[in-house]
Amino acid sequence: MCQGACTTSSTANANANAAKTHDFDATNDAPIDLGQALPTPRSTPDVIAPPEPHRPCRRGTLRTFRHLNPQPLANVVRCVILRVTSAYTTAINGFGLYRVFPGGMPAHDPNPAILFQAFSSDSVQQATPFKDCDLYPYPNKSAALYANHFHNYGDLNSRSARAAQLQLFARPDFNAQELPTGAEMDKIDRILAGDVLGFGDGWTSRPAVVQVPRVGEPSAAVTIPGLLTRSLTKTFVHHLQTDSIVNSYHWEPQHLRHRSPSGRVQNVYSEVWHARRFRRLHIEVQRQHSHKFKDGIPCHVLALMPGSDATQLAQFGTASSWPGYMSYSNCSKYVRAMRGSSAVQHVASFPKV
Amino acid sequence: MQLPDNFDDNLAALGITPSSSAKTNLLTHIRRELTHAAWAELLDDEFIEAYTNGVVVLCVDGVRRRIFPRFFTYTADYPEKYDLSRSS
Repeated sequence: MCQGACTTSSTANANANAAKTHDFDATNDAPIDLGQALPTPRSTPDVIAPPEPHRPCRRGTLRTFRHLNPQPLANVVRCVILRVTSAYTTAINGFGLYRVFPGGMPAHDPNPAILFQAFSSDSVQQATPFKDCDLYPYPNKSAALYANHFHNYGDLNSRSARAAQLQLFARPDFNAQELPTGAEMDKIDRILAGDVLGFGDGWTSRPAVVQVPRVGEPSAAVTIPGLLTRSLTKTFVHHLQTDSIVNSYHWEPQHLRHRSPSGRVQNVYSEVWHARRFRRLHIEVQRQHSHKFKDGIPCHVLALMPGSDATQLAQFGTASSWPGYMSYSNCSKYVRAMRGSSAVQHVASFPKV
Repeated sequence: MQLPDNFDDNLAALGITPSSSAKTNLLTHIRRELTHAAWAELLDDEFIEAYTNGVVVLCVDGVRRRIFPRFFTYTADYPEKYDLSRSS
């Protein structure tokens, strides 16, 4: 209350009636106890030291910073950004559930994109079959099939390798005339080893260096080979560009609420986009970034959910690996949990110690 | 992926020949350092740039979005949590 009154008192007023820089009268008259917390206003002009010429100042301004603002406030154009959003509420469905979009009507509601059948196990997507365009860097299908055989049975001289080779030669789509020369195959191997986004899927391998402490000596560096990683950014960019489940991704936060027959309303938390953290990060990204870029591209949060677990690879023996996975919780948990939905990306393979 | 067989030899060359109980602690230490080294590798400059300034992606639904990756959860079982968070 006092702040408001003081702010509105103009500089002209301060100059003309220099003694009365503070407009405290209203505060004092008011029955509210605020006056106790504030310094007692001076009752007579005589007690006051000569005021500075421009003193738009109020109680709220710290004395230290007054010199930084010598201009009267009248010259300042005030700029107030009002962010007005009205929440958009959907109709209540048969279960008493409804959704509230705090940022207004969403630009994109992915729910109609998901049919009920999508959640049944019948709809498990099969792995995409080989297409000619997927064969890079192999020049043709025969070369890819031959390399597949080489990588699986290359150093084996067994009956199963022979059977697989006979099977390969008998395939109608295999033509030995099309096979590249050995030098060309070497070149293809080099492309595969250095590939970033294509067939090699961008895996890089470099040893991890770990410091081991020693008593009375500086720590020793121990090199552990076998750490395989993939660029997180390239992985999710490629996923968003190509995988069809991105159609069903949720990009805007929402509340899911339940209204009981007695009229009691409570929040329902089912997915990440119902969570407070998603809402907070969404708002944070809008505030910090949406005004920074003038291209009008909407800014959205991609919710990363990495996970890792050491996995036994065989029922007998100790063969095991320790993969690191990345999934995105803009995707519904029902879709993510489905086998073959290609919702989880393999981004790391940790060496086991 | 297993460590090379000469891992113990490597340690011995460094003058580290721990007793069996100390070796458990040493392995725990190495696992934790290894996990952190792996994440230092994963959170590369490219990712930090995407995290700070976003990355524009033409998504498969035809909408161009500026994507800001943010972490929500890390799913791991108890031994891994132990590796990740143990500080001594």
